[in-house]
Amino acid sequence: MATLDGSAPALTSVHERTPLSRSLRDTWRYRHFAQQLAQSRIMASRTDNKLGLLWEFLNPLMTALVYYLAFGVILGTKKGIENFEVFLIAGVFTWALMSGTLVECSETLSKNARMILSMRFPTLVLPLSVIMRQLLTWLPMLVVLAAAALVTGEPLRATWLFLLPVTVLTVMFGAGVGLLLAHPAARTRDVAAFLPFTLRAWMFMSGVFYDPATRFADVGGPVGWFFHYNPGSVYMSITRSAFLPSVTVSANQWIAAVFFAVGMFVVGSLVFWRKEGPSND
Amino acid sequence: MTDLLPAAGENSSGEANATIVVRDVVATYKVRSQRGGTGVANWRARLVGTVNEVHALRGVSFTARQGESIAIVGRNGAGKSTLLRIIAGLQKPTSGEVLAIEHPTLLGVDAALLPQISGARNITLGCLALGMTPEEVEQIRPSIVEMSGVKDFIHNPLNTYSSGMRARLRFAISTARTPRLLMVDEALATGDEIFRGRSQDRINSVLDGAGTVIIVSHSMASVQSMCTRGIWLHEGQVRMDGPIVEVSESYRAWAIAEDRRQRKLAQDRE
Repeated sequence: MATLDGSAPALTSVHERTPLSRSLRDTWRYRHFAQQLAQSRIMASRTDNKLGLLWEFLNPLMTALVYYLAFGVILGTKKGIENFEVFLIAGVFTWALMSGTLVECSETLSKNARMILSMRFPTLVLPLSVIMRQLLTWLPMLVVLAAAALVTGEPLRATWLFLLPVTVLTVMFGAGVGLLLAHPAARTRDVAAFLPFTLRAWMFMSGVFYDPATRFADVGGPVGWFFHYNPGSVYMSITRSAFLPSVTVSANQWIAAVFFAVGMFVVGSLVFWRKEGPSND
Repeated sequence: MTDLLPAAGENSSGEANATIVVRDVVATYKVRSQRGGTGVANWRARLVGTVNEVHALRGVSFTARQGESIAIVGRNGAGKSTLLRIIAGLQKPTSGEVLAIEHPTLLGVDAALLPQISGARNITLGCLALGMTPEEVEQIRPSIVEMSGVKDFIHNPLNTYSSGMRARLRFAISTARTPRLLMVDEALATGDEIFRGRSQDRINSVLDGAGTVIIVSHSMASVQSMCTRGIWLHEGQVRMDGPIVEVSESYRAWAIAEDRRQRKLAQDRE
Protein backbone atom coordinates (compact mmCIF):
# COMPACT_ATOMS: atom_id res chain seq x y z
CA MET A 1 0.00 0.00 0.00
CA ALA A 2 1.24 3.43 -0.91
CA THR A 3 0.48 5.10 2.39
CA LEU A 4 2.23 2.38 4.34
CA ASP A 5 5.59 3.96 4.90
CA GLY A 6 6.28 7.55 5.65
CA SER A 7 3.12 9.56 5.35
CA ALA A 8 0.44 8.17 7.61
CA PRO A 9 -3.07 8.19 6.16
CA ALA A 10 -5.31 10.77 7.79
CA LEU A 11 -7.77 9.62 10.40
CA THR A 12 -11.30 10.85 9.85
CA SER A 13 -14.51 10.24 11.74
CA VAL A 14 -16.50 7.26 10.45
CA HIS A 15 -19.72 8.99 11.47
CA GLU A 16 -19.19 12.21 9.57
CA ARG A 17 -22.14 13.47 7.50
CA THR A 18 -21.59 13.32 3.76
CA PRO A 19 -22.35 16.56 1.91
CA LEU A 20 -25.28 16.52 -0.53
CA SER A 21 -23.12 16.68 -3.64
CA ARG A 22 -21.19 13.61 -2.52
CA SER A 23 -24.34 11.72 -1.57
CA LEU A 24 -25.73 12.35 -5.06
CA ARG A 25 -22.47 11.33 -6.71
CA ASP A 26 -22.32 8.16 -4.58
CA THR A 27 -25.92 7.35 -5.42
CA TRP A 28 -25.13 7.69 -9.12
CA ARG A 29 -22.10 5.43 -8.65
CA TYR A 30 -24.41 2.82 -7.07
CA ARG A 31 -27.02 2.99 -9.86
CA HIS A 32 -26.13 -0.50 -11.11
CA PHE A 33 -26.78 -1.85 -7.65
CA ALA A 34 -30.16 -0.12 -7.56
CA GLN A 35 -31.04 -1.62 -10.94
CA GLN A 36 -29.85 -5.11 -10.00
CA LEU A 37 -31.78 -4.93 -6.74
CA ALA A 38 -34.94 -3.84 -8.58
CA GLN A 39 -34.71 -6.69 -11.12
CA SER A 40 -33.77 -9.28 -8.52
CA ARG A 41 -36.67 -8.32 -6.25
CA ILE A 42 -39.13 -8.67 -9.15
CA MET A 43 -37.67 -12.08 -9.99
CA ALA A 44 -37.65 -13.12 -6.34
CA SER A 45 -41.29 -12.19 -5.90
CA ARG A 46 -42.30 -14.35 -8.85
CA THR A 47 -40.18 -17.49 -8.56
CA ASP A 48 -42.69 -19.33 -6.38
CA ASN A 49 -45.44 -18.92 -8.99
CA LYS A 50 -45.85 -21.36 -11.85
CA LEU A 51 -46.67 -18.55 -14.26
CA GLY A 52 -43.60 -16.60 -13.18
CA LEU A 53 -43.04 -13.26 -14.87
CA LEU A 54 -46.31 -13.64 -16.81
CA TRP A 55 -47.89 -12.31 -13.63
CA GLU A 56 -46.47 -8.90 -14.48
CA PHE A 57 -49.15 -8.82 -17.21
CA LEU A 58 -51.81 -10.89 -15.48
CA ASN A 59 -51.76 -8.72 -12.37
CA PRO A 60 -52.77 -5.41 -14.01
CA LEU A 61 -55.14 -7.23 -16.37
CA MET A 62 -57.03 -8.87 -13.54
CA THR A 63 -57.02 -5.70 -11.45
CA ALA A 64 -58.65 -3.89 -14.37
CA LEU A 65 -61.21 -6.67 -14.75
CA VAL A 66 -62.19 -6.63 -11.07
CA TYR A 67 -62.62 -2.85 -11.06
CA TYR A 68 -64.66 -3.02 -14.24
CA LEU A 69 -66.98 -5.62 -12.72
CA ALA A 70 -67.37 -3.66 -9.49
CA PHE A 71 -67.84 -0.15 -10.80
CA GLY A 72 -68.77 -0.57 -14.46
CA VAL A 73 -71.21 -3.47 -14.21
CA ILE A 74 -72.46 -3.67 -10.61
CA LEU A 75 -72.41 -0.08 -9.37
CA GLY A 76 -72.75 1.51 -12.79
CA THR A 77 -70.67 4.64 -12.23
CA LYS A 78 -69.99 4.87 -15.95
CA LYS A 79 -72.96 7.16 -16.65
CA GLY A 80 -71.94 9.86 -19.09
CA ILE A 81 -68.36 8.73 -19.42
CA GLU A 82 -67.16 7.88 -22.91
CA ASN A 83 -65.22 4.64 -23.22
CA PHE A 84 -65.54 3.84 -19.50
CA GLU A 85 -63.27 0.78 -19.85
CA VAL A 86 -60.20 2.79 -20.84
CA PHE A 87 -61.19 5.64 -18.49
CA LEU A 88 -61.28 3.22 -15.56
CA ILE A 89 -58.13 1.20 -16.39
CA ALA A 90 -56.09 4.36 -17.02
CA GLY A 91 -57.18 5.68 -13.61
CA VAL A 92 -56.53 2.44 -11.73
CA PHE A 93 -53.08 1.94 -13.25
CA THR A 94 -51.94 5.54 -12.75
CA TRP A 95 -53.09 5.37 -9.15
CA ALA A 96 -51.25 2.07 -8.72
CA LEU A 97 -48.04 3.64 -10.05
CA MET A 98 -48.36 6.67 -7.78
CA SER A 99 -49.43 4.89 -4.59
CA GLY A 100 -47.06 1.96 -5.18
CA THR A 101 -44.09 4.29 -5.47
CA LEU A 102 -45.30 6.26 -2.45
CA VAL A 103 -45.78 3.24 -0.18
CA GLU A 104 -42.56 1.49 -1.18
CA CYS A 105 -40.47 4.65 -0.84
CA SER A 106 -41.93 5.19 2.63
CA GLU A 107 -40.86 1.64 3.54
CA THR A 108 -37.27 1.90 2.28
CA LEU A 109 -35.78 2.51 5.72
CA SER A 110 -38.06 0.34 7.86
CA LYS A 111 -37.96 -2.71 5.56
CA ASN A 112 -34.22 -2.55 4.81
CA ALA A 113 -33.07 -1.92 8.38
CA ARG A 114 -30.92 -5.06 8.39
CA MET A 115 -29.20 -4.09 5.16
CA ILE A 116 -28.58 -0.54 6.38
CA LEU A 117 -27.13 -1.91 9.62
CA SER A 118 -24.73 -4.26 7.88
CA MET A 119 -23.49 -2.31 4.87
CA ARG A 120 -22.37 1.18 4.05
CA PHE A 121 -23.94 2.65 0.95
CA PRO A 122 -25.81 5.87 0.14
CA THR A 123 -29.36 5.21 1.36
CA LEU A 124 -30.81 7.23 -1.55
CA VAL A 125 -30.02 4.09 -3.57
CA LEU A 126 -33.02 2.37 -1.97
CA PRO A 127 -35.71 4.78 -3.26
CA LEU A 128 -33.87 4.84 -6.59
CA SER A 129 -34.27 1.08 -6.75
CA VAL A 130 -37.97 1.39 -5.85
CA ILE A 131 -38.48 3.86 -8.69
CA MET A 132 -36.75 1.55 -11.16
CA ARG A 133 -38.88 -1.40 -10.06
CA GLN A 134 -42.07 0.63 -10.30
CA LEU A 135 -41.15 1.73 -13.81
CA LEU A 136 -40.44 -1.89 -14.75
CA THR A 137 -43.88 -2.98 -13.55
CA TRP A 138 -45.46 0.09 -15.21
CA LEU A 139 -44.39 -1.03 -18.68
CA PRO A 140 -46.67 -4.10 -18.80
CA MET A 141 -49.50 -1.89 -17.50
CA LEU A 142 -48.94 0.51 -20.40
CA VAL A 143 -49.08 -2.40 -22.83
CA VAL A 144 -52.39 -3.61 -21.34
CA LEU A 145 -53.70 -0.04 -21.39
CA ALA A 146 -52.71 0.56 -25.03
CA ALA A 147 -54.21 -2.79 -26.05
CA ALA A 148 -57.47 -1.89 -24.28
CA ALA A 149 -57.55 1.47 -26.08
CA LEU A 150 -56.98 -0.10 -29.51
CA VAL A 151 -59.50 -2.90 -28.89
CA THR A 152 -62.20 -0.42 -27.83
CA GLY A 153 -61.66 1.52 -31.07
CA GLU A 154 -59.43 4.39 -29.98
CA PRO A 155 -56.94 5.18 -32.75
CA LEU A 156 -53.26 5.81 -32.22
CA ARG A 157 -53.00 9.55 -31.47
CA ALA A 158 -50.17 12.04 -31.02
CA THR A 159 -51.51 12.56 -27.49
CA TRP A 160 -50.09 9.12 -26.57
CA LEU A 161 -46.85 11.05 -26.13
CA PHE A 162 -48.38 12.48 -22.90
CA LEU A 163 -47.64 9.06 -21.39
CA LEU A 164 -43.96 9.92 -21.10
CA PRO A 165 -44.31 13.10 -19.01
CA VAL A 166 -47.15 11.68 -16.93
CA THR A 167 -45.05 8.62 -16.04
CA VAL A 168 -42.16 10.79 -14.89
CA LEU A 169 -44.39 13.22 -12.97
CA THR A 170 -46.47 10.53 -11.26
CA VAL A 171 -43.37 8.66 -10.07
CA MET A 172 -41.68 11.86 -8.89
CA PHE A 173 -44.72 12.90 -6.89
CA GLY A 174 -45.21 9.46 -5.31
CA ALA A 175 -41.52 9.14 -4.49
CA GLY A 176 -41.45 12.64 -2.97
CA VAL A 177 -44.32 11.97 -0.57
CA GLY A 178 -42.91 8.52 0.24
CA LEU A 179 -39.47 9.94 1.01
CA LEU A 180 -41.03 12.46 3.42
CA LEU A 181 -42.64 9.58 5.29
CA ALA A 182 -39.63 7.22 5.28
CA HIS A 183 -37.98 8.46 8.48
CA PRO A 184 -41.18 8.77 10.53
CA ALA A 185 -42.15 5.28 9.31
CA ALA A 186 -38.81 3.88 10.45
CA ARG A 187 -39.29 5.45 13.88
CA THR A 188 -42.83 4.30 14.53
CA ARG A 189 -44.80 1.48 12.96
CA ASP A 190 -47.95 3.57 13.40
CA VAL A 191 -47.17 5.54 10.23
CA ALA A 192 -47.24 2.39 8.11
CA ALA A 193 -50.47 1.35 9.85
CA PHE A 194 -52.23 4.62 9.02
CA LEU A 195 -51.02 4.89 5.44
CA PRO A 196 -53.35 2.36 3.73
CA PHE A 197 -56.48 4.06 5.12
CA THR A 198 -55.28 7.52 4.15
CA LEU A 199 -54.45 6.31 0.66
CA ARG A 200 -57.78 4.59 0.21
CA ALA A 201 -59.68 7.71 1.24
CA TRP A 202 -57.51 9.77 -1.10
CA MET A 203 -58.14 7.32 -3.95
CA PHE A 204 -61.92 7.47 -3.56
CA MET A 205 -61.79 11.28 -3.54
CA SER A 206 -59.59 11.35 -6.61
CA GLY A 207 -62.15 9.73 -8.87
CA VAL A 208 -60.69 6.45 -10.04
CA PHE A 209 -64.11 5.34 -11.25
CA TYR A 210 -65.86 8.66 -11.77
CA ASP A 211 -64.87 12.00 -13.24
CA PRO A 212 -64.32 14.53 -10.43
CA ALA A 213 -64.16 17.39 -12.95
CA THR A 214 -67.78 16.88 -14.03
CA ARG A 215 -69.19 15.51 -10.77
CA PHE A 216 -67.96 18.45 -8.67
CA ALA A 217 -68.00 21.03 -11.49
CA ASP A 218 -70.15 23.55 -9.60
CA VAL A 219 -68.43 23.17 -6.21
CA GLY A 220 -66.45 26.31 -5.44
CA GLY A 221 -64.01 27.36 -2.74
CA PRO A 222 -61.23 25.19 -1.37
CA VAL A 223 -63.24 22.00 -1.90
CA GLY A 224 -63.68 22.74 -5.58
CA TRP A 225 -60.05 23.71 -5.79
CA PHE A 226 -59.10 20.37 -4.24
CA PHE A 227 -61.10 18.38 -6.77
CA HIS A 228 -59.60 20.38 -9.59
CA TYR A 229 -55.92 20.31 -8.62
CA ASN A 230 -55.63 17.22 -6.38
CA PRO A 231 -52.45 15.61 -7.76
CA GLY A 232 -54.01 12.19 -7.36
CA SER A 233 -56.67 12.96 -9.95
CA VAL A 234 -54.60 15.28 -12.16
CA TYR A 235 -52.11 12.50 -13.03
CA MET A 236 -55.01 10.14 -13.75
CA SER A 237 -56.62 12.75 -16.00
CA ILE A 238 -53.41 13.20 -17.99
CA THR A 239 -53.09 9.45 -18.59
CA ARG A 240 -56.75 9.36 -19.65
CA SER A 241 -56.35 12.35 -21.92
CA ALA A 242 -53.59 10.52 -23.78
CA PHE A 243 -56.13 7.95 -24.99
CA LEU A 244 -59.48 9.72 -24.76
CA PRO A 245 -60.16 13.05 -26.51
CA SER A 246 -63.22 13.50 -24.24
CA VAL A 247 -60.94 14.01 -21.21
CA THR A 248 -59.27 17.40 -21.19
CA VAL A 249 -56.54 18.69 -18.92
CA SER A 250 -56.32 22.46 -18.49
CA ALA A 251 -53.05 24.37 -18.70
CA ASN A 252 -53.38 25.16 -14.99
CA GLN A 253 -53.73 21.48 -14.19
CA TRP A 254 -50.57 20.73 -16.17
CA ILE A 255 -48.76 23.42 -14.20
CA ALA A 256 -50.07 21.94 -10.94
CA ALA A 257 -48.94 18.47 -12.07
CA VAL A 258 -45.38 19.67 -12.71
CA PHE A 259 -45.33 21.86 -9.58
CA PHE A 260 -46.44 19.07 -7.22
CA ALA A 261 -44.12 16.50 -8.80
CA VAL A 262 -40.96 18.58 -8.83
CA GLY A 263 -41.73 20.23 -5.48
CA MET A 264 -42.48 17.03 -3.59
CA PHE A 265 -39.57 15.20 -5.18
CA VAL A 266 -37.01 17.86 -4.26
CA VAL A 267 -38.38 18.41 -0.75
CA GLY A 268 -38.77 14.67 -0.09
CA SER A 269 -35.24 13.86 -1.28
CA LEU A 270 -33.73 16.66 0.78
CA VAL A 271 -35.56 15.65 3.95
CA PHE A 272 -34.60 12.02 3.38
CA TRP A 273 -30.96 12.91 2.75
CA ARG A 274 -30.71 15.29 5.71
CA LYS A 275 -31.37 12.42 8.09
CA GLU A 276 -29.22 10.00 6.13
CA GLY A 277 -26.44 8.11 7.76
CA PRO A 278 -26.24 5.92 10.81
CA SER A 279 -28.92 6.35 13.43
CA ASN A 280 -28.37 6.07 17.12
CA ASP A 281 -31.39 3.97 17.96
CA MET B 1 -5.94 -5.20 35.02
CA THR B 2 -3.63 -4.36 32.13
CA ASP B 3 -4.31 -1.20 30.25
CA LEU B 4 -1.99 -0.52 27.34
CA LEU B 5 -3.98 2.43 26.14
CA PRO B 6 -3.41 6.11 26.27
CA ALA B 7 -6.20 7.66 28.29
CA ALA B 8 -9.19 8.90 26.36
CA GLY B 9 -8.69 12.47 25.26
CA GLU B 10 -4.96 12.09 24.74
CA ASN B 11 -3.95 12.82 21.21
CA SER B 12 -3.56 9.21 20.17
CA SER B 13 -4.61 9.95 16.58
CA GLY B 14 -1.22 11.54 16.05
CA GLU B 15 0.43 8.14 16.17
CA ALA B 16 1.87 7.23 12.81
CA ASN B 17 0.59 3.66 12.62
CA ALA B 18 -2.86 4.04 14.11
CA THR B 19 -5.64 2.74 11.84
CA ILE B 20 -8.67 3.03 14.10
CA VAL B 21 -9.08 5.23 17.15
CA VAL B 22 -12.09 4.58 19.39
CA ARG B 23 -12.63 7.34 21.92
CA ASP B 24 -14.93 7.07 24.90
CA VAL B 25 -17.78 5.49 22.93
CA VAL B 26 -21.09 5.31 24.76
CA ALA B 27 -24.17 3.63 23.31
CA THR B 28 -27.57 3.76 24.93
CA TYR B 29 -30.65 2.18 23.40
CA LYS B 30 -34.25 2.99 24.10
CA VAL B 31 -36.19 -0.24 24.22
CA ARG B 32 -39.93 -0.59 24.45
CA SER B 33 -40.61 -2.93 27.31
CA GLN B 34 -43.69 -5.11 27.53
CA ARG B 35 -43.69 -5.31 31.29
CA GLY B 36 -47.09 -3.81 31.91
CA GLY B 37 -47.27 -3.85 35.69
CA THR B 38 -50.46 -4.25 37.64
CA GLY B 39 -53.04 -2.02 39.22
CA VAL B 40 -55.12 0.84 37.95
CA ALA B 41 -52.27 3.35 38.22
CA ASN B 42 -50.30 1.48 35.56
CA TRP B 43 -53.01 1.55 32.88
CA ARG B 44 -50.77 3.50 30.54
CA ALA B 45 -47.87 1.08 30.85
CA ARG B 46 -50.21 -1.81 30.19
CA LEU B 47 -51.75 -0.19 27.15
CA VAL B 48 -48.67 1.05 25.26
CA GLY B 49 -45.76 -0.43 27.22
CA THR B 50 -42.91 1.43 28.87
CA VAL B 51 -39.60 2.65 27.49
CA ASN B 52 -36.41 1.31 29.07
CA GLU B 53 -32.87 2.50 28.56
CA VAL B 54 -30.26 -0.14 27.84
CA HIS B 55 -26.61 0.81 28.28
CA ALA B 56 -24.83 -1.26 25.64
CA LEU B 57 -21.50 0.57 25.85
CA ARG B 58 -20.35 2.71 28.79
CA GLY B 59 -17.25 4.49 27.50
CA VAL B 60 -14.99 2.28 25.39
CA SER B 61 -11.58 3.52 24.17
CA PHE B 62 -8.76 1.85 22.30
CA THR B 63 -6.40 2.42 19.38
CA ALA B 64 -5.83 -0.20 16.69
CA ARG B 65 -2.62 -0.19 14.69
CA GLN B 66 -1.34 -1.44 11.35
CA GLY B 67 -0.96 -5.21 11.08
CA GLU B 68 -2.90 -5.85 14.27
CA SER B 69 -5.58 -8.49 14.51
CA ILE B 70 -7.77 -7.87 17.50
CA ALA B 71 -10.25 -10.23 19.11
CA ILE B 72 -13.10 -8.72 21.04
CA VAL B 73 -14.23 -11.26 23.61
CA GLY B 74 -16.90 -11.22 26.27
CA ARG B 75 -20.21 -12.80 27.19
CA ASN B 76 -23.43 -12.40 25.28
CA GLY B 77 -24.78 -8.91 25.75
CA ALA B 78 -21.40 -7.40 26.66
CA GLY B 79 -21.78 -4.93 23.76
CA LYS B 80 -19.44 -6.62 21.26
CA SER B 81 -21.68 -6.47 18.18
CA THR B 82 -22.81 -2.93 18.97
CA LEU B 83 -19.17 -1.84 19.21
CA LEU B 84 -18.41 -3.49 15.87
CA ARG B 85 -21.32 -1.75 14.13
CA ILE B 86 -20.29 1.60 15.58
CA ILE B 87 -16.70 1.14 14.41
CA ALA B 88 -17.99 0.21 10.96
CA GLY B 89 -19.90 3.50 10.90
CA LEU B 90 -23.27 1.74 10.59
CA GLN B 91 -24.56 3.00 13.89
CA LYS B 92 -23.96 6.29 15.68
CA PRO B 93 -22.67 6.27 19.24
CA THR B 94 -24.68 8.19 21.83
CA SER B 95 -21.43 10.00 22.62
CA GLY B 96 -17.75 9.60 21.80
CA GLU B 97 -16.14 9.18 18.41
CA VAL B 98 -14.46 6.73 16.08
CA LEU B 99 -11.67 7.83 13.73
CA ALA B 100 -10.32 5.58 10.99
CA ILE B 101 -8.04 5.73 7.96
CA GLU B 102 -10.93 4.52 5.77
CA HIS B 103 -14.43 3.17 6.25
CA PRO B 104 -14.05 -0.26 7.84
CA THR B 105 -15.75 -3.14 6.02
CA LEU B 106 -18.07 -5.19 8.21
CA LEU B 107 -18.35 -8.71 6.96
CA GLY B 108 -22.03 -9.00 6.22
CA VAL B 109 -23.21 -8.65 2.62
CA ASP B 110 -25.62 -11.23 3.90
CA ALA B 111 -28.31 -8.60 4.02
CA ALA B 112 -28.09 -7.79 0.30
CA LEU B 113 -28.41 -11.42 -0.74
CA LEU B 114 -31.83 -12.62 -1.80
CA PRO B 115 -32.67 -16.27 -1.03
CA GLN B 116 -34.97 -16.78 -4.03
CA ILE B 117 -32.44 -15.90 -6.72
CA SER B 118 -29.38 -17.80 -7.95
CA GLY B 119 -25.92 -17.72 -6.43
CA ALA B 120 -24.55 -16.17 -9.61
CA ARG B 121 -27.05 -13.32 -9.47
CA ASN B 122 -26.36 -12.88 -5.77
CA ILE B 123 -22.66 -12.49 -6.54
CA THR B 124 -23.55 -9.61 -8.86
CA LEU B 125 -25.87 -8.07 -6.29
CA GLY B 126 -23.45 -8.44 -3.38
CA CYS B 127 -20.44 -7.07 -5.25
CA LEU B 128 -22.41 -4.08 -6.56
CA ALA B 129 -23.55 -3.47 -2.98
CA LEU B 130 -19.88 -3.24 -2.02
CA GLY B 131 -19.49 -0.46 -4.55
CA MET B 132 -17.88 -2.34 -7.45
CA THR B 133 -18.61 -1.48 -11.07
CA PRO B 134 -20.25 -4.15 -13.31
CA GLU B 135 -16.88 -4.66 -15.06
CA GLU B 136 -15.10 -5.24 -11.76
CA VAL B 137 -17.78 -7.76 -10.78
CA GLU B 138 -17.15 -9.81 -13.94
CA GLN B 139 -13.39 -9.70 -13.36
CA ILE B 140 -13.67 -10.91 -9.80
CA ARG B 141 -16.49 -13.43 -10.33
CA PRO B 142 -14.31 -16.51 -11.10
CA SER B 143 -12.29 -16.08 -7.92
CA ILE B 144 -15.46 -15.76 -5.81
CA VAL B 145 -16.97 -18.90 -7.35
CA GLU B 146 -13.69 -20.70 -6.75
CA MET B 147 -13.31 -19.53 -3.15
CA SER B 148 -16.92 -20.29 -2.23
CA GLY B 149 -16.62 -23.81 -3.60
CA VAL B 150 -20.30 -23.96 -4.56
CA LYS B 151 -19.37 -25.14 -8.08
CA ASP B 152 -22.38 -26.45 -10.07
CA PHE B 153 -24.86 -24.99 -7.60
CA ILE B 154 -24.00 -21.49 -8.70
CA HIS B 155 -27.10 -21.17 -10.91
CA ASN B 156 -29.49 -22.61 -8.33
CA PRO B 157 -31.47 -20.36 -6.02
CA LEU B 158 -29.74 -19.55 -2.75
CA ASN B 159 -32.50 -21.10 -0.63
CA THR B 160 -31.56 -24.53 -1.98
CA TYR B 161 -28.02 -24.24 -0.54
CA SER B 162 -26.86 -25.79 2.72
CA SER B 163 -26.13 -23.27 5.46
CA GLY B 164 -22.41 -23.95 5.09
CA MET B 165 -22.53 -23.22 1.37
CA ARG B 166 -24.42 -20.01 1.98
CA ALA B 167 -21.90 -18.90 4.58
CA ARG B 168 -19.00 -19.66 2.23
CA LEU B 169 -20.54 -17.69 -0.62
CA ARG B 170 -21.26 -14.80 1.70
CA PHE B 171 -17.71 -14.70 3.01
CA ALA B 172 -16.25 -15.01 -0.49
CA ILE B 173 -18.32 -12.08 -1.72
CA SER B 174 -17.67 -9.78 1.20
CA THR B 175 -13.91 -10.29 1.11
CA ALA B 176 -13.63 -10.34 -2.68
CA ARG B 177 -11.78 -7.08 -2.52
CA THR B 178 -9.14 -6.88 0.19
CA PRO B 179 -10.16 -4.06 2.50
CA ARG B 180 -7.65 -2.36 4.78
CA LEU B 181 -9.92 -2.51 7.78
CA LEU B 182 -11.95 -5.70 8.13
CA MET B 183 -14.49 -6.35 10.88
CA VAL B 184 -15.73 -9.90 11.34
CA ASP B 185 -18.66 -10.89 13.52
CA GLU B 186 -17.88 -14.52 14.10
CA ALA B 187 -21.54 -15.45 14.17
CA LEU B 188 -21.43 -14.80 10.42
CA ALA B 189 -18.17 -16.57 9.62
CA THR B 190 -19.17 -20.19 10.00
CA GLY B 191 -17.91 -22.99 7.81
CA ASP B 192 -15.94 -26.19 7.62
CA GLU B 193 -12.21 -26.75 8.05
CA ILE B 194 -11.19 -26.03 4.44
CA PHE B 195 -13.18 -22.86 4.55
CA ARG B 196 -11.62 -21.81 7.83
CA GLY B 197 -8.21 -22.09 6.20
CA ARG B 198 -9.31 -19.92 3.31
CA SER B 199 -10.72 -17.28 5.65
CA GLN B 200 -7.42 -17.26 7.49
CA ASP B 201 -5.74 -16.54 4.12
CA ARG B 202 -8.05 -13.59 3.52
CA ILE B 203 -7.44 -12.21 6.99
CA ASN B 204 -3.69 -12.61 6.50
CA SER B 205 -3.83 -10.68 3.24
CA VAL B 206 -5.48 -7.78 5.07
CA LEU B 207 -2.73 -7.86 7.68
CA ASP B 208 0.00 -8.12 5.01
CA GLY B 209 -1.38 -4.95 3.48
CA ALA B 210 -0.80 -3.23 6.81
CA GLY B 211 -4.49 -3.26 7.59
CA THR B 212 -6.31 -4.15 10.77
CA VAL B 213 -8.71 -6.99 11.47
CA ILE B 214 -11.18 -6.94 14.35
CA ILE B 215 -12.98 -10.18 15.15
CA VAL B 216 -15.85 -10.61 17.57
CA SER B 217 -15.82 -14.12 18.92
CA HIS B 218 -17.12 -16.54 21.51
CA SER B 219 -14.67 -19.28 20.59
CA MET B 220 -11.33 -18.81 22.34
CA ALA B 221 -9.64 -21.51 20.27
CA SER B 222 -10.17 -19.87 16.88
CA VAL B 223 -9.29 -16.45 18.25
CA GLN B 224 -5.98 -17.51 19.78
CA SER B 225 -4.69 -18.79 16.45
CA MET B 226 -5.91 -15.80 14.44
CA CYS B 227 -5.32 -12.77 16.66
CA THR B 228 -2.45 -10.97 18.31
CA ARG B 229 -4.36 -8.78 20.71
CA GLY B 230 -7.45 -9.24 22.82
CA ILE B 231 -9.98 -6.83 24.21
CA TRP B 232 -12.30 -8.19 26.87
CA LEU B 233 -15.57 -6.35 26.99
CA HIS B 234 -17.63 -6.69 30.14
CA GLU B 235 -20.99 -4.97 30.63
CA GLY B 236 -20.16 -2.30 28.10
CA GLN B 237 -16.68 -1.51 29.36
CA VAL B 238 -13.14 -2.65 28.52
CA ARG B 239 -12.15 -4.98 31.34
CA MET B 240 -8.82 -5.95 29.87
CA ASP B 241 -6.75 -5.07 26.82
CA GLY B 242 -3.48 -6.81 25.98
CA PRO B 243 -1.75 -9.72 24.24
CA ILE B 244 -4.27 -12.35 23.18
CA VAL B 245 -2.77 -15.10 25.35
CA GLU B 246 -3.09 -13.09 28.55
CA VAL B 247 -6.55 -11.79 27.79
CA SER B 248 -8.00 -15.12 26.76
CA GLU B 249 -6.45 -16.84 29.79
CA SER B 250 -7.92 -14.33 32.21
CA TYR B 251 -11.27 -14.41 30.42
CA ARG B 252 -11.38 -18.19 30.52
CA ALA B 253 -10.50 -18.26 34.22
CA TRP B 254 -13.17 -15.69 34.94
CA ALA B 255 -15.77 -17.50 32.84
CA ILE B 256 -15.13 -20.80 34.67
CA ALA B 257 -15.35 -19.10 38.09
CA GLU B 258 -18.49 -17.25 37.02
CA ASP B 259 -20.07 -20.47 35.77
CA ARG B 260 -19.28 -22.18 39.07
CA ARG B 261 -20.75 -19.29 41.01
CA GLN B 262 -23.95 -19.34 38.97
CA ARG B 263 -24.36 -23.08 39.49
CA LYS B 264 -23.82 -22.75 43.21
CA LEU B 265 -26.43 -20.02 43.36
CA ALA B 266 -28.88 -22.23 41.53
CA GLN B 267 -28.12 -25.14 43.87
CA ASP B 268 -28.55 -22.97 46.94
CA ARG B 269 -31.92 -21.90 45.67
CA GLU B 270 -33.01 -25.51 45.40
